[in-house]
Amino acid sequence: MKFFCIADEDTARGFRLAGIGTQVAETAEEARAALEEMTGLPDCGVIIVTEKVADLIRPQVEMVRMERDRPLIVEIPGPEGPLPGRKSLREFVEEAVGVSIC
Amino acid sequence: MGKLNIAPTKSNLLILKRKLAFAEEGYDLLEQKRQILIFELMSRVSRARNTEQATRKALRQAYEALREARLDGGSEAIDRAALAVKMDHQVEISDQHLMGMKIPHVTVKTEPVSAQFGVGGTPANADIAMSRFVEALSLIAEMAELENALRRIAMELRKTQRRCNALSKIFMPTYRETIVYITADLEERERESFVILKMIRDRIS
Repeated sequence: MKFFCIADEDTARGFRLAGIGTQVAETAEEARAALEEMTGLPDCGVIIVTEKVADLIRPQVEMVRMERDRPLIVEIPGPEGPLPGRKSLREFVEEAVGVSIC
Repeated sequence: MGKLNIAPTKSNLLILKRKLAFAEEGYDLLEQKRQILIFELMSRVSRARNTEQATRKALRQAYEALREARLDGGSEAIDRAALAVKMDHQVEISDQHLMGMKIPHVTVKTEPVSAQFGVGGTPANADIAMSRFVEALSLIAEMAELENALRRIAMELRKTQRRCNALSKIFMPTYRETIVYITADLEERERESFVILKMIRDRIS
């Protein structure tokens, strides 16, 4: 199986340079279409999505995560660095466990 | 905590006792499951945090190299170079089963970086950017595995906790109270019939 990537133009260029199938998405519409297309592919293993793009299509991303075994979706920070105010993985876990983990 | 609204009879008492025993058994199992899930979660959290940081660092370097390359040669040169790239990174996803959940396990085989495009017309930094992005890939794959595993375990843990609480805080107390009520009622009736029996015997003799 392969990697795929949905990202803004800059990030997409970088991943294309690494030989990964990449779709550029600037709007929610484009991102949604790209995600649908990729989840439909049989050899799609991991979809790399930038945080910015993922925020555009949050409901769809969560749906794929919850309901399907694969592809796996992973969010990465864009060229501008990690977006502020995002729930980190640790916070997510803390919320589930109900206690804080140091 | 209210008791159940059922007739205080012997057969109901037996049914309730059986149900309570079943609930207790279920609670024990859920409690065990909860502990295992927490253990699994903990063992992944620190790994996830390290990987997250490493990924961020790798990506930051990759973006930096890419920016340099773009400044050197322009976006179009990089786009043209990217067209020539023929690398095929394989990623295998297998499932580990944990408490009835599927936890993804990702193994990644990135292709070694080699010369993919001609030296002419492409900035030197494009090669650096390419190799850095490829390096970041395996970290990203690990991230994908851990993030999805954590999410699934956390969701399952939340569900298990809710069930545990429902059993121990609502279900079992209600049952216990009802059992106490029925037992008391049955005993009361027994005493009553005993007294009546005595009275009848007194009157007959």
